[in-house]
Amino acid sequence: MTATVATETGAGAANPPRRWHRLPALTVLTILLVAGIVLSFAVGVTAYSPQVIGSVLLAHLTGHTPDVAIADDTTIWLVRMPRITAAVLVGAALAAAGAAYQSLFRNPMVSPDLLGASGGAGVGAALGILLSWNNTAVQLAAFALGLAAVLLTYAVGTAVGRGTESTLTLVLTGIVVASLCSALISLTKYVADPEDKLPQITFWLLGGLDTVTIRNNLLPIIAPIAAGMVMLLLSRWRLNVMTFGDQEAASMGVNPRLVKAVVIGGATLMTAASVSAAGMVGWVGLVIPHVARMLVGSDARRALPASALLGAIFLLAVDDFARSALTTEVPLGILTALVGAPFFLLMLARGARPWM
Amino acid sequence: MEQRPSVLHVYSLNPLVVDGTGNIIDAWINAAGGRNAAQIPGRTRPVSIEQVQKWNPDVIIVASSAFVANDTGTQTLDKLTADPIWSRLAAVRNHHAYINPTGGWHWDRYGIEGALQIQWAAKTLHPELFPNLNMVAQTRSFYSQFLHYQLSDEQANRMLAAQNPG
Repeated sequence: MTATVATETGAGAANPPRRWHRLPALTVLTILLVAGIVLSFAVGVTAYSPQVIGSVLLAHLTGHTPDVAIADDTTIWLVRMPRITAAVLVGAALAAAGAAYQSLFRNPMVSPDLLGASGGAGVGAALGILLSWNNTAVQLAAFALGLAAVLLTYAVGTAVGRGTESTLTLVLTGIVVASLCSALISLTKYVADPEDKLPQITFWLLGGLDTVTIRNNLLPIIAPIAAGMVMLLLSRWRLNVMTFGDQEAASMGVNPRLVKAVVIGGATLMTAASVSAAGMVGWVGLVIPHVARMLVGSDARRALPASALLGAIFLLAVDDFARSALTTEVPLGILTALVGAPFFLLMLARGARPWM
Repeated sequence: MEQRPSVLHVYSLNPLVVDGTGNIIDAWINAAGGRNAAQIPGRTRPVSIEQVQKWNPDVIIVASSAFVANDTGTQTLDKLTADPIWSRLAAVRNHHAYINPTGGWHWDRYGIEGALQIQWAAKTLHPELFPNLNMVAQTRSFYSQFLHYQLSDEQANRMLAAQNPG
């Protein structure tokens, strides 16, 4: 496995998949993302023309009062703007974290919650709801326990692996911690009041961006996601070297322990922040990196930003559907799984195995 | 406000969950002289705030299940009034947002206090039609007659404000 990946990665930079050879994929994805954002402002319960959207956004960004009906201003600036921003941030964060993990752990089935980030965040949120905390406290608890779960995995994994940080030990410990978290979530659900607390926990776990507001949900996640993204982007080329294996990477002057710590730290910051705001949104971090590698090849220097852009586009599109398709909200986590899982199978069936 | 005001019954604010048609909530809204703003079948349906803006209800009734972090009903209404999105809804702007009473059970959903709920809702939606309906006295007599329990005025008032009657 290691040898195959290593040769492929080595060749990847010079030999990206044929058909996309001449397209500047990152530019195209950026344009698609901008178009997606504009479209997302337009669709919803009420549809808006680009002129109305433009005038509202421009007015707010220049500090004026927009010259439209108050309901339209509320919808565009207070409802759609935070929700669209959150979808872009969370989508980009989960996909980039997933891409980084898949490179680091040299495993195509890895998703950003591998080391327990989502499970820990779920425990934090369920506990916060159970103890009647307010929304900001619930989100902070989710973020803190998401980080704590990964720290636990890392500490135990290193201790059990006798200081070697062996990848396999780390992954297995992650599975144990995630399973422990899921038991704790079940416990909170079991003791929760079925008339008010239990539905709240259930809705939270299903995932969604329907109640995102600027102050309560958006501001707390911007810094961790930005910090994590910078950490991952700075580690891009080292991730390529890491695919040769720890010893080979060390012989090429890369400190494998440091790269592992930085990548796990960055990915965890992003994942915990995403889950704390959006709940359990699965499959983005697993499927999107594969699609990105199909487009730009397995070189992490391009695959990582491409994953982030694609993830943002994907989650934006899915969330547009979640809020516009029916009168009721469709939980985001269900939709990403319904789209992601069959797509993954389709890729397998067509013989596309971008990780090999 | 037109003769039958449209009523949105909010089950939870975060996530936003409301009660639609074809259930006991819809039934008491109609019996009390209102109509359900949420024209979707079923109870406890998650909706977006955009949808609520479009429905633009005349009256918003918030169930005690929507209280978070041990807030009282008054605090919950204050939060709605202070919220940048909710405060722009006509019902909140016109002070037509109310807290649903809760006694032995939630008055609004499947309990015997549904009999009190209809009277409370009718007086809340049409105060001009029920000048002599005293909900404190009604609540006390209901408890005395059907549950053989003598409520104090204070306990009845606490139920009407969705506080634990103690």
